[in-house]
Amino acid sequence: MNRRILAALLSAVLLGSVAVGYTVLRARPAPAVDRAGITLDAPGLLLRDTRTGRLAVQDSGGERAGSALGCARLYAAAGTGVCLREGLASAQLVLLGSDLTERRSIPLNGVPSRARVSGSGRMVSWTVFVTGDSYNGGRFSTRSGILDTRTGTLAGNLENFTVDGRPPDPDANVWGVTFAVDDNRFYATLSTGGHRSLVRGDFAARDLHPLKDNVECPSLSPDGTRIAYKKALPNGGWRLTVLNLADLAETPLAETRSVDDQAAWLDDRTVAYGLPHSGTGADVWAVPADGTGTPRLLAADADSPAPLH
Amino acid sequence: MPSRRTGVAAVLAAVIALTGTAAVGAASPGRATAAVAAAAVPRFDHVVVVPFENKDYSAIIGSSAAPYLNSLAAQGASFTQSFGVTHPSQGNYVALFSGSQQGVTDDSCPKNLTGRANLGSQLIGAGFGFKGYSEGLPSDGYTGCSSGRYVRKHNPWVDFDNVPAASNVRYSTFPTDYAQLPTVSFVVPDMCNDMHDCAIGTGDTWLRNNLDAYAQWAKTHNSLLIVTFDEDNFSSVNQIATVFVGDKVRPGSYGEQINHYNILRTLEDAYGLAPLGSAATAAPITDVWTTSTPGPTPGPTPTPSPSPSPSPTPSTPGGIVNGGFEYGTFNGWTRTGTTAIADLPHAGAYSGAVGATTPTDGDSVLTQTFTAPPGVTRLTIWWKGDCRDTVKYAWASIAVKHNTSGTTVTPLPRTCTANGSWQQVTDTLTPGHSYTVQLVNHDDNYPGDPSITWFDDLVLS
Repeated sequence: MNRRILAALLSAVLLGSVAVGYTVLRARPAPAVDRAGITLDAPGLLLRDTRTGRLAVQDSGGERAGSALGCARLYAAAGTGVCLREGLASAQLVLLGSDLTERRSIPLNGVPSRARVSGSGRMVSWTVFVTGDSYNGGRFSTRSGILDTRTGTLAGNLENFTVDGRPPDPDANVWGVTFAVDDNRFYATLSTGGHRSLVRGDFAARDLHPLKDNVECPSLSPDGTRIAYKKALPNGGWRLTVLNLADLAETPLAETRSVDDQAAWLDDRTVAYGLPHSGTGADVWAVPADGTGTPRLLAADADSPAPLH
Repeated sequence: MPSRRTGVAAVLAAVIALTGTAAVGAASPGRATAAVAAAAVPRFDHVVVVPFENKDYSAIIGSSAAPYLNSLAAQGASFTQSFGVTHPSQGNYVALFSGSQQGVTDDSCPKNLTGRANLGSQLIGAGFGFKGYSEGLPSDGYTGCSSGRYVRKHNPWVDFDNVPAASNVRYSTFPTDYAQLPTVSFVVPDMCNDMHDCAIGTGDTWLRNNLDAYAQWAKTHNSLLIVTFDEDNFSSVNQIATVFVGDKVRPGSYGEQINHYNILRTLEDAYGLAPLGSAATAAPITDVWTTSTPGPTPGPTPTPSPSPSPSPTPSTPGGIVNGGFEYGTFNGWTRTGTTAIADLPHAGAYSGAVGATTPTDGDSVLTQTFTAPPGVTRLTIWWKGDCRDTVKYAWASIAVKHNTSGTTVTPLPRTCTANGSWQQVTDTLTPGHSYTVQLVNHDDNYPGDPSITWFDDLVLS
């Protein structure tokens, strides 16, 4: 009983502080002051400032430090950053060291969409939109790739992986990669024949195994047990949902607005995501991963969140 | 038509004589410097560049659809991290030829690029020869946008008014006596044979039928064949196959990241030409030549550089080759078991990974034999282990055989550690003596506890 009261009290305190944080953020948008010495090592929230299009880091007090690094999509883990950068000749996949120095840049085809780094910082993935595939009459298709930064192995097109040992159909598209802790297994969306499925990939074996239909943009929880994803709704929107990998049970999260993003787990209990706001730009929100609670604003005028530990 | 081109060329020559002097004049003092710096790239009597169209790296290298290209790759240097610079085609051809896309972002024709330096104008201006041999070109000097399976968008020299019409010729004039070739030439297959409209196998067979004789001749005549692609076919990254075959080419897979600008820079360095545009900041390819020394490394970070050595194999009389793995390859090293160039350096950009993060069976070893140069008395080696086992079953070790004295030293006895830090070991050397260093990772192939060791920065002092 005592414990329950304590929990209730704690919740109230937390909610109160969230409310305060919300007020502060709305009243005084975090100043994205360019600051030297931003690192991917200090705790905080990596994000893209949607007013400047540049990489920024928000500390636990809600204060934001901006950088000069323009990115369309971001992610980071364990000191490895990835910035998908639009460019004149070609978009670029830019690998960043923890001090934001550019370690390597690889020309990307198409328009940057998703980016992810494995928890160890070793594996990097990206998704771009391309046009010109004959099977869909000039509409956008996606392409995804994975780089093993330790061995240098580069898989430029996951559509070249097999599906249960066989070549996928020609209309296959893959997007939204998320890595497991062993730096070999990963999850992604495979679209083929009108189905969008969650697949489990094996990087070494170059194979994809379908697990469940109607799961897009998966994001694996740090403990490896659950997938946060966007579930397509009949009305054309997406519901942020969590899938339990052990029994494939689905839990819709408390965010009822349509979320078109690959969510990022802040910890094993919370996922963060970008939501466009009116006009241009977006805000980053967070919601409990168990279906309870309500969404809270984490960072105004920002998207592409990634927790820095 | 030819007379008009000649007229343009004459005017252009005059323009170069006036304005161009600035460039040439400015380049002249730098020329000597460039020549010194360019010693890392051999000066070939002939280079033939053959660009193909629109294929992913993985559609060519390792693919049964391209048996001849793969055999070429095995005969020469194959670049595993080579990239186009843009899409669509035309910008890539212009970039390769001039160090810049020159504002070309589509395939429209004609592009008329006035007074802009390019590889052709540079070579000719410096007294070397240049020709583009285009299959399907209806007549020498033709400037039309297309004719049958010929397209000008794959033929960039036509766009530059400072390349004479005489350099734009039909592929049917490609000599059978290769000694008659100009210094540098491009051979552009037509829209079928370049794999644009026809199958990979069609282009692959065309290459064998048309250029294998040159490739074999080149190997013994101080000449070079470069086969590359303009761009990939829309995977997620613009990764292409690029292969060098010829004299002074050390066969192997090379992992440094290159693009069209690195190739242009390499050709410019070979002939002492001032690098153009983005080629100025692109590293020349220096590690594939048998004449190369471990001097300038392609990596962005300088590595502790051993003293220069004239020949890397079998025994290096003058030091260790590629001791920091900054070539991005195993140049200089003999490998057994499972090894990989790793993006996990002690310093610089790369290290050598021995073993793997998945189980491997027994010893994996990197070996190099060298002679200690005058004044050298110490060998330093950095290593880092990720051993998930116990030393009974898995370990890192380093042995140095003192070949001259017939003894073996183990600067690193069998050690199993996963503490995540780089450590150094040393051995004492005698100048002029021969040594064989062995960098070892042992794993018992047991699932779940793989062992891997990274080695880096073997330095003589």
